[in-house]
Amino acid sequence: MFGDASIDVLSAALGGLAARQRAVSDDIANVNTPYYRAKSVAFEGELSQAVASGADPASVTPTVAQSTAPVGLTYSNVDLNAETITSVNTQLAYDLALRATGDRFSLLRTAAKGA
Amino acid sequence: MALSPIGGVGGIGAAQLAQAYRQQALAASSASDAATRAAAAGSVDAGTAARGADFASAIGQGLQQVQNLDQSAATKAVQAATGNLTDIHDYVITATKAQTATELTTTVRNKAMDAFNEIMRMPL
Amino acid sequence: MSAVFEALGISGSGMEVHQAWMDAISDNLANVNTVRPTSQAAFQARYVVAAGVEDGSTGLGVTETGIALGDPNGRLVYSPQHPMADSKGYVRLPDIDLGEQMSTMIMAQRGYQANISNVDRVKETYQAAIQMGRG
Repeated sequence: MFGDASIDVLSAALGGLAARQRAVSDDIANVNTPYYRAKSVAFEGELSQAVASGADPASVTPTVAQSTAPVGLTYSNVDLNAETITSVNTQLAYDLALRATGDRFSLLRTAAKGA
Repeated sequence: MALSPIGGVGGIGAAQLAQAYRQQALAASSASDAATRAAAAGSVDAGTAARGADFASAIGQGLQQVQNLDQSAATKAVQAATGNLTDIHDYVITATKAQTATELTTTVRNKAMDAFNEIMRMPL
Repeated sequence: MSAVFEALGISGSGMEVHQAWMDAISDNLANVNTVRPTSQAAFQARYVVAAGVEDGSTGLGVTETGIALGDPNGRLVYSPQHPMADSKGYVRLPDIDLGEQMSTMIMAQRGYQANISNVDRVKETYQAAIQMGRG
């Protein structure tokens, strides 16, 4: 049952979410840096495709893109409202994925203990 | 006492399943009592063997249900990971069901094993 | 982004629009005394135009669909000493009512705060759901 693919998918998701959280922290730190471009991390689409096609979820790496909104000498293009929401969303998604991973393992343990 | 196989109709709850297992285990062990006495008297009750098979198939159906719940929980977990989950309670409830059903089935099977071992230890 | 936590994005859209509203009002207040000669249009007040985002069920928040501009004629004020005064001594001032702008600023601020506290509440709800049935 360790061939259970869901644990690998969850592990890839956790990696992507952690990368997104780092990007948000970097953006918020640089909210007043001139010419700074906000970053965004994408991995869900690629992960969905890997799941659908049966590919190894570990091969999915998060991609970082930069925002194309205008920057200038006195301003970055960081949208603080959006970054805050992304941060909360990512934290909740991370908690959920952690919980799901824990659940998969505890199911195995319950079955193993009973034997 | 005639035992009936459990399940077959979809939607039987885990609690009812546990209840039915308990009754059948008791009935099976009491049937085994009668069988032991009959064996001591020189004849074996053919019905006992059939009842034993019913109990085994009931356990088997319980395990199948646990397997199905485990599969749905895994599917929902993957959906949560790829961001395709619609409602969070969807995953949580499915996972809790799977966990509870596994624990329940494991406990029931252990009790059945204990009951069987106890019966086998009875001096004849 | 995880669609399962949709309420967060919805509150986020509320925050964006109310922030835009506060920015517009601040701009109006900053220019409440901006003088222009009568040959030009007056400074025009900015109004944020918002519309709800519909998806056929519970909705997806709010979005800013544009900016509406106020009256270009403004108020003509007699001020013959002013360097920008025309031959008759008038200059143009914007048609912005300070009192009205201040009260709408309070509304915008309240709306922004309401969306922020909603984010907190929604986050608690989701966290409680994630912890459900644990251990």
